[in-house]
Amino acid sequence: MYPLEMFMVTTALLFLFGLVALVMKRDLVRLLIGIEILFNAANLLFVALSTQTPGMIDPFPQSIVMMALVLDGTVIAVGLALALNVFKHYKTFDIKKLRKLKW
Amino acid sequence: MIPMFFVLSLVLVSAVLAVTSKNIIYAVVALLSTNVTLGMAYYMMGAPMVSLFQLAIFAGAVVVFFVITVMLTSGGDMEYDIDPSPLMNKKTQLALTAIAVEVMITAALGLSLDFPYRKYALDSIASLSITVGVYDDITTAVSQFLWQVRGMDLIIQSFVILTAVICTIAMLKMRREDE
Repeated sequence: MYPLEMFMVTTALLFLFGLVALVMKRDLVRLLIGIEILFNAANLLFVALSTQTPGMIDPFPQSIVMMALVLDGTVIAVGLALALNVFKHYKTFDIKKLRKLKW
Repeated sequence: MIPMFFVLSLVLVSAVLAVTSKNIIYAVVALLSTNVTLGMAYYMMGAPMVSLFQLAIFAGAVVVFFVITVMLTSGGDMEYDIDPSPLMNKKTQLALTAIAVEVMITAALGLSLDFPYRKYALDSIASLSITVGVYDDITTAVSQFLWQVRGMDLIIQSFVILTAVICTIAMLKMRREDE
């Protein structure tokens, strides 16, 4: 059993990196990379908490994380298809130039 | 404990590279490294099925999707076409940094508290938990748990994935018709 604090610090830093990518970047693909890092942070904390009972392993968080992994992959795939369509129409990934989507 | 510390450090370093790399291809490769090292961490923590899914989906399929997207668009130097000035102005960045620092301080203070997770785990989930041992036992237990306890979730999830696949195919087909 590994200490939980190590995983909590790693999760917090991963979450921060994902958030920084979402806030600071203007490239659509980089935004999706940031979203994937956020997914990874959440999954890591789930799995770390499942192994914190001494001598025991809880299968519930692991099954939840497995389902979340599949859904995260789907979300990223749909996002990349959207990004491809955006590039086809506007010839750019810069979200600042995509203001035509605004009302 | 030291190998796990090393693996988690690799996760963090490659995540930083994925966020800060100028070339998008390098960023995708760093993301691949993040996912592979996270899969190693899951295996070391005693979650072999999660590790398998992480390696197959995140380190396999999703990274391939990213590479295909980069290939179909501008060949890896998208960031250079974009104005390097950040999206938000200074005040918004400052406010977000303050929020992030506040969250980190709260988390650091929370680490000093004694969370009752062990009590809850021992009291309520003890009947479902399995002892740490051979990895085959863990894999079998997680599979049985998925099909017996979370069966409805799996069925709903399959419908969600089917919808996403239909959406993706429709979007890509629309793109081809436009051409």
